[in-house]
Amino acid sequence: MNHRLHILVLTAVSCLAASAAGETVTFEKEVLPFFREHCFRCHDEKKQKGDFRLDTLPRDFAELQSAERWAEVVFRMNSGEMPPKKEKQPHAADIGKAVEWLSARLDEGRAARMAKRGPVTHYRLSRDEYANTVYDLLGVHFDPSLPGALNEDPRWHGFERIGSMLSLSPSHVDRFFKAAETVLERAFPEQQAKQVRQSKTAVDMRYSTMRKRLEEEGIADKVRAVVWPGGGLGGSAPQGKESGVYRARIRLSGLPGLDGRAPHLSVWHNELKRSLFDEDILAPEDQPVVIEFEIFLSMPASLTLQNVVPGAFNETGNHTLNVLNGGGSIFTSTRETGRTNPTGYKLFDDEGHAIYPVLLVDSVEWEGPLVSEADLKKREGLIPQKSGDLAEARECLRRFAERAWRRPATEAEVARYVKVVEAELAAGEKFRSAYMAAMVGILTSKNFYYIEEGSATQRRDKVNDWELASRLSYFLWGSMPDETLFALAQAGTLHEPEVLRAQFTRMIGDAKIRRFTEAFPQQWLQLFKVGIFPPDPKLYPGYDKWLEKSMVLESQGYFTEVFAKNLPLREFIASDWTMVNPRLAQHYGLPALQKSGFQRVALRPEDHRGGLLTQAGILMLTSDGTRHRPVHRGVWLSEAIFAKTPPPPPPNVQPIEPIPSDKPKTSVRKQIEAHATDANCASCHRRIDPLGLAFDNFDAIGQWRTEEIVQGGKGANPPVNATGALPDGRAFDGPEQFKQLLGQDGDRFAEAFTEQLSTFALRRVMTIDDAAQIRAVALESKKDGHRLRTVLENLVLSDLFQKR
Amino acid sequence: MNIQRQTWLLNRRHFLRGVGVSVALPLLDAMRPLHALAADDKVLKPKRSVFIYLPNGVNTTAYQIREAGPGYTLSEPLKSLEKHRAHITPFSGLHHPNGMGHHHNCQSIWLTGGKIGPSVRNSISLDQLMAQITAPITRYASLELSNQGGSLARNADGIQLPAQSSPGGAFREMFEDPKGGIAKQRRGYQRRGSILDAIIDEADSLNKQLGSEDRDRLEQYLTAVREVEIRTGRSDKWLDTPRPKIDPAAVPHLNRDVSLQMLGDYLRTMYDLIVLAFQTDMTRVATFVTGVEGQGPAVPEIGIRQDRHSLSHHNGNIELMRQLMESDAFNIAQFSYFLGRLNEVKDADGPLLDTTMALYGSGMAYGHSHGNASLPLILAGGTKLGLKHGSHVDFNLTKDFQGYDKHAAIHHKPVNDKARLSNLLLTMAQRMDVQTEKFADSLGTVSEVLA
Repeated sequence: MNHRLHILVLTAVSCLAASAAGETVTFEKEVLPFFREHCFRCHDEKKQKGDFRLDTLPRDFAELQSAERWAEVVFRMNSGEMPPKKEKQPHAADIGKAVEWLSARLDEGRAARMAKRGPVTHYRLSRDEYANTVYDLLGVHFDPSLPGALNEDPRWHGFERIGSMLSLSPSHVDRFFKAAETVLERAFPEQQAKQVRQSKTAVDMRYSTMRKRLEEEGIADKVRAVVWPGGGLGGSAPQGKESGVYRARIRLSGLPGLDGRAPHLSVWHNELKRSLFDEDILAPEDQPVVIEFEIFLSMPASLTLQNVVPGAFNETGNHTLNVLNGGGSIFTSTRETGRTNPTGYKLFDDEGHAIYPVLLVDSVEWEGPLVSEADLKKREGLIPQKSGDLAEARECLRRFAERAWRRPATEAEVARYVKVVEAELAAGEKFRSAYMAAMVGILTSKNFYYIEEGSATQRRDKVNDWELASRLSYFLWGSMPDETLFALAQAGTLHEPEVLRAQFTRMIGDAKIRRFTEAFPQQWLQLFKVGIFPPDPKLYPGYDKWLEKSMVLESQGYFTEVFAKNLPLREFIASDWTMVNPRLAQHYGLPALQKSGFQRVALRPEDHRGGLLTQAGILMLTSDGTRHRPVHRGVWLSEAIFAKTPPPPPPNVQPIEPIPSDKPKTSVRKQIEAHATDANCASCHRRIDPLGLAFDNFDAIGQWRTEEIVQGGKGANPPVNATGALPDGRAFDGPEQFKQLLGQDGDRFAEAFTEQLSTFALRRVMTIDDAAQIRAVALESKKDGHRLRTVLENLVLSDLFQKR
Repeated sequence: MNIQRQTWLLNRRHFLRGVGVSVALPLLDAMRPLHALAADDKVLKPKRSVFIYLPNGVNTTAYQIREAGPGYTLSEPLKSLEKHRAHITPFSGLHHPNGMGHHHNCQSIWLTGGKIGPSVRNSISLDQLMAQITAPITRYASLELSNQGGSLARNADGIQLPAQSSPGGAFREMFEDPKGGIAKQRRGYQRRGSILDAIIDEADSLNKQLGSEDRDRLEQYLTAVREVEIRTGRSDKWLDTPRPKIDPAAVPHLNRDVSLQMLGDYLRTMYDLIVLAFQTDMTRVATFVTGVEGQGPAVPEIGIRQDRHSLSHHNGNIELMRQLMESDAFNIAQFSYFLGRLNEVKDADGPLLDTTMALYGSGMAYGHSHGNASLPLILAGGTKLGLKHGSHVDFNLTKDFQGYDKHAAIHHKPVNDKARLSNLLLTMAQRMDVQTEKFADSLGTVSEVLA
């Protein structure tokens, strides 16, 4: 009976297919003539404009690669881009018919691919996610970027968590092994480290050789250590052997130089050769501030408190430093000059103003290694209390495995690791050590560092509640789910819209959301590229590492502010505010700030800033250190703002012939225009170049300019020309007008942004299969004016988010 | 004792799966103790290869050698190689068809000849293919050095291997005994063995349930874990063989960090390290990236402050082109130093240079507009492996060739599409006893360098 029914249904389906084929236009009858009349002239055997040939494009719509090309064809036809305006224009109805037929085939192809999707997908954790996860799992800080810790992850358009990119080599396994050992040693040390408090005064750090004299004079508690530009203060690190998180409290004043520039405190790690903490310090001499922060220190550590600003003493070498350091110069206050070195450099003018930005350090206080109650609680119940009790070991391992693997573990799965304990005991290890080997195994298992979705035995199109919990937490927290999410997964209710909505609201209110507001803009905007080509110091003498870091912090801080205030997405395109610190305010030529740290400032039109696109970091990440590169800027804009990656240049294009340097100075723009005369190049560059040329008013480090400084060549520097037109013909003059035009395309940007967000959330590249669902999320969000949190919430609640 | 510690490995019969190419390395081979191999020619007569990458191509106008055959004149930036003339072969016209038009991605396929694209996986690099042959013999299968990040080496899954960037780091890894003594080390390997048992068993059980096309990622995982298992076994085996003692006077020179600000010192120290690794037979295969595409180091010591990437996009600026040429000459002079060292240092078989094939060059030719045809490449050494040298082998000399004045065009479209770099890589593979008739898109061997 059942069998018969099957056959009936099958017959019905094939009838439907047949009649559908009969009713709709067939390719040969309706589409092919259209192509012949309007397309093949430029895209066939004889000619392949844009390196594209249409007549042989396989009509296999289930095959992803050809389907994507067909989708592109449909897009170009729909948008009126093809056939080009100068060609004979087809009737709208004819376009409609062809597009309709093609779209229907694309839909069918997508369904076919959906059915073909493998039963289990594996997404490896990125190294940042690894670090977040071990922290949330065991309360252990692990720095994956330390030399030898974990390999850097490959990126796909800036995204560090795309499953198909995150491959695995033996070296990864080897490092996961070592990382697991380190993490577990820190979580369960043989002896719990004692937390200590240490204090270092200016005498300890700067004047230790004259301690006695200072005490006799009664000024030991009044002296301050002056840190001049380029100078450093050693002996500031805590003593001890226990690695861990330390809290620092530095009491100091920071006086700007006569040019208004703030001194910059950098806590420099002498072995790692990198800064662990950075801050501009603005605090009057009489009102020192206490800067408090927590950093992870691998002990013993050697630190220097540096004042990093390009300035008077940087390049003058040791002689200057000796003069400043030597001579028994003792500083208490600018009003007290009796004990300073009479032959030393003058750091203050007669009114007591600092001539150069200086730091006056009073003391450094350390507390650590810090272990919070919350961190200790995470480790409870994971180590057997009774030595030798394998049953308890089994129970503890199950508990650990289920949390580490973010799902229930079967008896058989746990048994494998109990066997490790047994093998180690047999080899003569002590019980605790044997048990720890099993824990290392659980953290080196694929179940830990792969996010697994689907099951081998049962085909599913949607994620289950456990998988959903992980999707959600890795999306918003860059880490594993917490107890609440686990409980809802266990109850099987997490996928229910109201439960999901409530969890979303709870999660974005948690401090861990900061991982999202930092990581997402970093990846979406490809901020890793900032500073990848260090600017030529001859051309950009004002550039320094702190400026570079500030640039990235501005874009992240800007995103965080839009998120915190739940502002509309259009704020990303244009705004009358931004987030700057004193260093950036100076770089932008904004009024000097009165306090240190990042803060929201109002912008005037003459500042030429606002939105993401004119932030220094964004402008810099596409330059090569000497020159800005409009084509690269255009490609970046196309990727980040329109979520469209322009095709790479076709192979074997005619090269750009160099312009000899004894000719007049030529702007980059002129050179690009010269080479884009080739029709084949022009078809793409017409769409890319204007996007970049709109920002020609900014140099390689994002400073405003009205003329382009050209190295070599003869004559005057050419003036900037930032005019152009979008592919649809709308003209602009300069970045402001360009931003206005982008602002008019709010829906398009919202869709593109949703796509970027989905790529990040779902850890895979979006395909045409996802386009309709992405559009639905964007459309739903429009009701609320595309506010950022609304877009996130709608994505989380969408079908797309639960699609496997 | 020996038998006992190897039980955990020998109990199972895991073979390297998914290696893809003709050579698979059975685990048992890896476990064969050293002395059993001792009488073998494979052990006694080392064959070695080293691959050195120069980023961003060269100043092609200055670099190009104009005459073909034995009577050629070395161009200005190549002058430092004059003394090695009998040991080198410069090539013109070779290219990777898959690299054409792919900009700086050329570096990732320089030794693989693989395809490039977001959904395409790279393939095994030649050095790793060779390492499959030499791995059972030497303490380290291969040595990866790179001054700014990833190596040239790709494993059987096409995944990039990490590299050492500091001479000191590489030196300590090879020549310093790890802390804790042999017994503790051995216990550590054994412990790792029990853990690997569990995680391999775990992955295997899922693998059995999956259909063949769904295994992709899992297969990669299994290959990686099994390779770790093999390496752990090898490390265990080598514990009983003492590391070579290095002349204490030479240690401070090698065991240190050298800033890229002193590029010459850095490069020579790295080259010294490779020579030492070969001399002590720590490994027989090495790769060295002297700079990554996009940011090849500047040469502050001769007043060149811009990186090679900026210089290569010279746009015809005479000053930038001069600096690029100076940088080329400087880098090549350090390579010449390396060949000199290989020639001075001898083992039982004579100068290392005769038993070492060294390939130097770039995956880019005309960097200004990303031309990847007619790559700058120099093959040196290896005469005892069956190579011969002395000529400029110019594959551009076909009927379509219009002379070297049109140098930009030559570097953009191969004049001779049969002149594939993979042909040369295949030739080198065979000289290292890799049993294969094909490497990537090769069409055959390069008879011009075969004795």
